[in-house]
Amino acid sequence: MSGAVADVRDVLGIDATALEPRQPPLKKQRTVEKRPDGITRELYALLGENAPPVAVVEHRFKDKPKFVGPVAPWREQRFRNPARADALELRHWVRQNPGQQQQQQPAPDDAMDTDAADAAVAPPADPPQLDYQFAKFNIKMTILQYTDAEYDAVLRDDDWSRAETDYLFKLIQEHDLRWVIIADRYEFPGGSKDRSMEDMKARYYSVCRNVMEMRTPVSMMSAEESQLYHAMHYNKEQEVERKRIVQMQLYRTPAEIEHEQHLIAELRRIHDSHQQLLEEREELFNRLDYPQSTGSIAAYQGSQGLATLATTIMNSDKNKKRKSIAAPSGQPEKDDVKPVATAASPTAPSRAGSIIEPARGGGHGHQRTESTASATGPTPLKDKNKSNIKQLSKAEETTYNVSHHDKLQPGVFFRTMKMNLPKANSFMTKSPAVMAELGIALNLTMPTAKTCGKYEQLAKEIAALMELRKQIEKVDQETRVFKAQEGMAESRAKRSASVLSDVSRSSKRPKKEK
Amino acid sequence: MEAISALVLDPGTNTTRCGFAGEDTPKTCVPTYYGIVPDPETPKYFGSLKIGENAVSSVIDGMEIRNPMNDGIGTSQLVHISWAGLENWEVTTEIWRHCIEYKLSSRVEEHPLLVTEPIWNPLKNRERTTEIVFEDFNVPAYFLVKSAVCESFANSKPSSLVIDVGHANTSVTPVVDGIPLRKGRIHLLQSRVSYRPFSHNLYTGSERTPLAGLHLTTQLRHQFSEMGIRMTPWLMLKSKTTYTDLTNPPQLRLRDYGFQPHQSFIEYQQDRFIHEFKESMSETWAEPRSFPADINNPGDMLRPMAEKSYEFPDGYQRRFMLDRCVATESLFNPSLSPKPFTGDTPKGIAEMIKDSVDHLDADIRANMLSNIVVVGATSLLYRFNERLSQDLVAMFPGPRVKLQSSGQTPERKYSAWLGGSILASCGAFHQLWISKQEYDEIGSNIIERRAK
Repeated sequence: MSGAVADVRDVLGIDATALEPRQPPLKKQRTVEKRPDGITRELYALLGENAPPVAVVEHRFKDKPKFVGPVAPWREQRFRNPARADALELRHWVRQNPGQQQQQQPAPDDAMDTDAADAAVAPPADPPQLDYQFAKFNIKMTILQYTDAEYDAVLRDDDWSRAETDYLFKLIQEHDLRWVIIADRYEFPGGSKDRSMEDMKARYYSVCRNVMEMRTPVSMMSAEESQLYHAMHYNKEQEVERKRIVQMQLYRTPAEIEHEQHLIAELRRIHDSHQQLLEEREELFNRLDYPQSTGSIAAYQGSQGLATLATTIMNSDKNKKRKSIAAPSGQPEKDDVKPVATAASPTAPSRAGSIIEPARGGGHGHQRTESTASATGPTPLKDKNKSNIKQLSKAEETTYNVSHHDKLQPGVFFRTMKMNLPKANSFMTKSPAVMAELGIALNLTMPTAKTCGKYEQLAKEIAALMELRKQIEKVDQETRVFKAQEGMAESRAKRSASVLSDVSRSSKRPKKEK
Repeated sequence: MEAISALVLDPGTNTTRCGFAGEDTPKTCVPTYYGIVPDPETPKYFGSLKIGENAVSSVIDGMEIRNPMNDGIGTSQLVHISWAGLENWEVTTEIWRHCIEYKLSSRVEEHPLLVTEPIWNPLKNRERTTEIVFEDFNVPAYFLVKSAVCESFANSKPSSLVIDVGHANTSVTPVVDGIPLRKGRIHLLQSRVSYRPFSHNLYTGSERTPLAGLHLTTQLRHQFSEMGIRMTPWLMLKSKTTYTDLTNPPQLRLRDYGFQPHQSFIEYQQDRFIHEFKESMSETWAEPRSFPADINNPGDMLRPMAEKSYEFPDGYQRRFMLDRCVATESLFNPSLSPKPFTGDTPKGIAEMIKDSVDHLDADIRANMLSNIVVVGATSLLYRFNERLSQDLVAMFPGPRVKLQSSGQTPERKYSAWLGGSILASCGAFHQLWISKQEYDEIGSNIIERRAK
């Protein structure tokens, strides 16, 4: 029996192990059932892990805090900051650790009182605390210093006097290389020139480089030094230009910002359409390449090989039915089927009283057993089958109400369900309006084969016209955009004009493809 | 945090704030205005001083209300109200002492003292403050710090563009890494001869523009007097009857004190209800459309301005609509001021900010614009920040403009004090204090070396 269960599980795709862990809790519950003597079963059921029906809240004061050992007192203590040059003593509150406190105060019971009194009355009795935890934040930058000899050797500059260079280095030291502040505070007393931040930076970096180079030639420098040396490279013109551009960027007018956003959107659109173009092209290539020649053709060279090939092709054609040859993923096939169903489904319920196409028996009409993607004419294979049956003329067919179908679906269905309407989404949404305009009911009142055929034809034409209109609108829109851009481009600088022409050139390409 | 029980003193034009470092609001806030009663027995100040909120508002025969920030003793020198014109140092010392010793009940010589100063404070005043602090107060340690830096710190930003819309001044100060920039600073300075808004009005140059709380008071006072409203302060009235018809007002029933209080006292009292009007009624025009030039014919508005009614101390009730925005609009658009400027019309606050930003280095501009800190009690005007942000975005369409402003009223009012409190309770700051020893060695000039 267990083997049969395992088979069923296997068929249903249930993991056999998934069901296993359910058993242990059952066992546990059984063990819990064993109750000690003297307790009734009802009472015992209330015990255990059941949550109490009412939350029990005890009204009482908070517990006294449990202190381990004596309370650590806070003591106002004088301290010195080693970062200071003078002997300023400030006072702050420090928590004594209990051990230290016990050393000082043998009687811990009244430690608090005496301690507080001590601190208030005679704080100077304590030795000032020497280490200070915040002193470590006192960090100064090390700025390069040069000697007189070095200055005379490599640092002479026509533009900068020695005094001014010294002043600059003093400011740099004082403000830790914060250039914005240095430039703000720069007021050299004897200086007649108005120094910009770039001037100062250029001077500082050139001094640093020269001194470094003089102390150790570039070839002798360690990796670190050489990295620093190259980092000190400063291009003043480039910086000035960069700042000019930053400024321009900051002070764009709203119109310029809008134009920029427009360009970005346009660029994105071009990218997207380019992507689409690539996809379409790839699909086309797939179509052209089919069937791909994989492997050698040696096997098919004999007559028997050819016969096998023919049967395999036929079989594969049968299997694939109308499967699109372009996409191997099977997506297009779904697309082919679904819209027909969705198009027909809203019409179906309302037409319960209309004529139903009966499924005819094989003797009466005949079914097409085979269909291809483009079933326009009868295939030779079908002709062979047909040759045994009497051919009816057109008039006879209408008289006997004989119709031909690509494969009839078993069971009863509405003919309107089988109508081959255009599948585009836009058609689905817009066709009712067009139909109303033409004065044609959306649901056919008399859906004979003929009217359905006419209806299909009409729908196809409407869809084609709609597609055309859409294309026209698109082209119109693009023309307008380009015209507007050309107008803007004329008023703009040469550079932006060239960008625009690039844009228009690249965006025209996909349009032609379509 | 490292508390060394330092005191923080933030002297302003309107009030002087004082408290202990490490707390989030000042313990006390004392009016900087003081009363002086002529008294031949105390020749030092030409009379006895009345300092503190209660003393200033008590009705005393002959008491004159003055502000040490703007008056010389018994003179009518043309001095600007602000620290720049801090002339009456003796009185200032008394006010500071009142804050610390009377209000805080602390002994000033026991605590390190941090004082805030505006960025435009001249060297003379800084040295004088140092002298007072070490000579008169005998503090163990002292430091003078720029209020803009404190305000930036109070909003937890080391770098920001600080816009301080205070009582007498509106200032725009770029702060970079806790250091204020001087060249990118624009200072709007209220200039007034004394506390008599009608008698004198001296506005000079484009650098000194009166676009702050005191300017609003002046404008509102002018607006009310144009309307023909009797501005009798509460203190002078015995009882009131409400009325709405200005042309036929009921008889005023005044309290009889047996003497006529000094004109400056009455004006100070008038300021109290004008202040209330500012708080409850004034609104900043923050609509997309610009403010209508003619408020009686505003044209079509997207949003009808809410009507609010206000009762003046004498019982006059009036509904205010667009006229609530007139005085505040003059902060942004000084040409629309109800009371025209004598001399040049200054630039609006938003334009001042633009000027300041234009002076900055291109690399920090974007950072400054996205870190604008708005502080000062006058910035609490309804929809003030909205308007400022709107103007700035229109001026700088490209970069991101972001205003940061605390929603808490005390934080906005006392943000300079709060920043000072943060600074003075910071462990790493303790190496910066100027000690008494250093002062003794170098003298008052040490302030220029140590606190730049």
